[in-house]
Amino acid sequence: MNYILTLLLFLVGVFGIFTQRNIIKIIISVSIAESAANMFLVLVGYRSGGIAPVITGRYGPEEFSLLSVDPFPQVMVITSIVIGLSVIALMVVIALRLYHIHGTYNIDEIIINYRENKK
Amino acid sequence: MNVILPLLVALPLGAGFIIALLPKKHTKAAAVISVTASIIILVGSAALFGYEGIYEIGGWNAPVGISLSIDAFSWIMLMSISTLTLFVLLFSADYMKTYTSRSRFYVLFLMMVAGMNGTVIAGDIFNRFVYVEMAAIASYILVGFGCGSKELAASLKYAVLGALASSVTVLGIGLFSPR
Repeated sequence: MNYILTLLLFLVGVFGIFTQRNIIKIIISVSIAESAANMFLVLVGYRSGGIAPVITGRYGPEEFSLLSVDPFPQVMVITSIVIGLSVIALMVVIALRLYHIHGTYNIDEIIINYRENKK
Repeated sequence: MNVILPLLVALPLGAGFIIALLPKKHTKAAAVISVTASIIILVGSAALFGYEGIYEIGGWNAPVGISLSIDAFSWIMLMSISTLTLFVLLFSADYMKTYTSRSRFYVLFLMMVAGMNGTVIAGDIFNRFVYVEMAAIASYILVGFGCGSKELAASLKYAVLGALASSVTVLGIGLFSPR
């Protein structure tokens, strides 16, 4: 059920990317899709009643491997969040430069401006 | 022999950072540094012919540390990347004279080369993802390098589709991660 909900959130992001005409709204949709992917990884790594994967000496090796959560999804999620932040910062900078040139955030008006300047 | 493996990633990264520290007008020094780095990469990857093995960075074993691996297919990809790098650097020297800050081009290009080399020789899926994103972000900036209207629009389209593709990659990694 949770997996289906994250898939729905991802589809909301994809729908926004393909239907919105404002650059800022497209960037927000990209961010929604990325957070859906991150949420899926968090749900994959969930284990009810699990402990943090840090060896403290309280548990023996077998008991520790039974109790602790898998550290791989957590590592993957934190890297994916950082990379997503940098990509979104880059897209915002590109949108600002486009706004300085054209004076609008609308893709259709940017395309019309570009075609008129070409002729 | 496998000492060459981490150099394939570290050398273009280090050369890129050295060029970024140089003053902006030293474009000739930037070109010389990047061409020298790409020649060293080409020679080093040619020296790896017929070699198969794993290099563990810092001596840490595979589940904890970062491991780099190479086999015959990686060698073919490595050779094509380094050959193309050298020729792109040589033949872009004339074209890049039309732009103002040429040394930034060499920084971004070397970052992209480091990401592509790392993608080919990465030993696990986590490092492969990181290297792919490194190459992808450098290439988003390279597409919009001229800062004209046309380049910026193309770069925005490429960045949106690339970000969507990288989140699909994260979904796929989550699907087959061990449970």
